[in-house]
Amino acid sequence: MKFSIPFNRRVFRDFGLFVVPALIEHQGRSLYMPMIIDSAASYLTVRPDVFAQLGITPIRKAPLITASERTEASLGQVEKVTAGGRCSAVNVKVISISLPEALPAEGLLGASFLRNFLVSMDYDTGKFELTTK
Amino acid sequence: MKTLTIKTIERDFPNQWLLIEVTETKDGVPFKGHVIKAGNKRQEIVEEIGKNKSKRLFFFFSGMPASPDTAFALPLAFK
Repeated sequence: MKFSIPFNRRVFRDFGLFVVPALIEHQGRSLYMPMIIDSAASYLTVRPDVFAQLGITPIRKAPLITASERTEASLGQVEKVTAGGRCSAVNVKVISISLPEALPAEGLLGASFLRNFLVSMDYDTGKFELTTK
Repeated sequence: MKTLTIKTIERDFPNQWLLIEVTETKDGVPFKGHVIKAGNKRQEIVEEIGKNKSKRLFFFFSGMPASPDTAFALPLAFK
């Protein structure tokens, strides 16, 4: 089934980014945060303080290449991530990195979530859709 | 605590970090809730997340942290 996912229109207009409120559920915690749809990120990505507050246990360190450096990041897994209310994935891998303060979101919805869906982004009509497999 | 729409809360708490308990969603998006904590210091708000374990929370910044002409190039990660 195909679902149209609501996103932040102002961020889309100003920066050309699709930012959706994603629900992360883990260890009895349920947290919505604005997340950038980012197919260039391998994993769901959150800042270290949120990673800790969600009670995520690091599985290992993952080598990480960003636009400007090569480093390492803590890699863990959360129980469930949902976008748009009905598009959910379970056991989603997540990394913890320091994101820029000026980012208009709290993290990135990367491939560890997006891989569970067919992803459609139409920049002309302003439409973001996920189709369940 | 007073339950308000998220839009009203954003208007009442401009340019602040917000932690909201979500009481109602619309199309999977937080629609109504009440403020658990608001402020200018991100760390103080983040620390409340772990203390509110059984609640549905919404954490975000109510302002726009970058000017509209800003370009973003985001990270890649190896598996």
